[in-house]
Amino acid sequence: MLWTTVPIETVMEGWGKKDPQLRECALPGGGSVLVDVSSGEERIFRLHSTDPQMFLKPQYAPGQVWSAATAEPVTRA
Amino acid sequence: MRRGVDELTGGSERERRRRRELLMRRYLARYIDREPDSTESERRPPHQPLLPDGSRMNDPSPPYPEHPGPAPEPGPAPVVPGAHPHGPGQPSPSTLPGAPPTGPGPGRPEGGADDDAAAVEPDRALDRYGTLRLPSSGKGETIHVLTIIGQVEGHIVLPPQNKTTKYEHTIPQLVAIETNPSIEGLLVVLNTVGGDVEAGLALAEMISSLSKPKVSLVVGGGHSIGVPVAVAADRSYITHTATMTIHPIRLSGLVVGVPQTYEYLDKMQDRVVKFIVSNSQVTEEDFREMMFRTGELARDIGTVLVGSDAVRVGLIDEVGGVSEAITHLRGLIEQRRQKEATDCVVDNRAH
Repeated sequence: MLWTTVPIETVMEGWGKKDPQLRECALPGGGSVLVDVSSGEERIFRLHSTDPQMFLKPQYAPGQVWSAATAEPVTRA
Repeated sequence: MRRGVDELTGGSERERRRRRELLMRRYLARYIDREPDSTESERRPPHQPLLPDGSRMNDPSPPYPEHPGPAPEPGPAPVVPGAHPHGPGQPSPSTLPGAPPTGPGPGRPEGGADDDAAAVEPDRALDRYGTLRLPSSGKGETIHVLTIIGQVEGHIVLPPQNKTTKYEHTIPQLVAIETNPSIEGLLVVLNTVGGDVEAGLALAEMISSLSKPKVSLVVGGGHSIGVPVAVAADRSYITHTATMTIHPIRLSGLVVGVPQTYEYLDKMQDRVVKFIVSNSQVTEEDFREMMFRTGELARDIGTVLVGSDAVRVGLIDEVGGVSEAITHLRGLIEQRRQKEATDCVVDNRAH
């Protein structure tokens, strides 16, 4: 349920026309990221991890370009 | 605190004394920003009250250093956690102009004895990962910024033309802020048009229940579900020209024809109103009157509050910008430090 000042037709414009194509990439040590590959480049769609500190790392923020080289092992503080 | 108390018990008297001294050294190193020595402890006792300008009583040094932190490390600018564009064609995640350095603040303890290594490891990890941190005041505190921007996205992924705040990423960030010992305060910056009621309310509840000091700042606009998020902080600010729109919750603007649907919407609205009323100075009667006011909005009923209007009705605490918000947050952090220091002394006396 949306509560917004933007008209609903503007918010939902194009909804369902282009679903993201997702690929799951495992992170070393546990957890994974869902990567959106539908735009030709790989961008992080969602991070799956039980370590909340992982969510503070900017390279795992949704919308960031995914690179396996920047993946860091999951470490518990 | 519990861990510290546990460390003080058990073993021989000599061992207990050694551990007590180690614990106190750690505590002093954290709260007066450097390894203590007798001269420093006498000059700046941790209980010395903080003046409104951020300096301490009888402290000859300026409240903040001229250069608030070390030079930024090379590499990409730190990212504002929580602000996430969605899909291709959008800019990369927002960066804060003049984003802060990620290195430790001046005088921040870099470690110490080998057995201290585990205690400082989370802090080092944050430095290494470049998580957003505001420039240090030189007092060693670490403030994080959470931006609530665009649409607050809920259980439905919104089309890519929307800039969204994704709650499944923001909620764990709030958990991390609560659990990370090196984070002492949170600044929530809002520029949102609203969004999903459940997701927005969840964020507001998470922010409200943080034990650490948190201050919110509305810039540009904090509309609809942005209102409960804004009032969830300990202290809320709004800039002179920012606006907040209060209007009824509806289901996609259609005419509500089924009584059950109306009751459901009414219950949702009650939840939001109760949260706002219990976390701000506005009365329920005034808030509902603003929500159903006619003649202000072209497409809807409701009220637009501009800057000082939001303060006048009791929704927001104060008109101000980022400097006022940060100054107040630093004051709250200092108060919390002093309370923890008092608790630590009481605990030590008890053992």
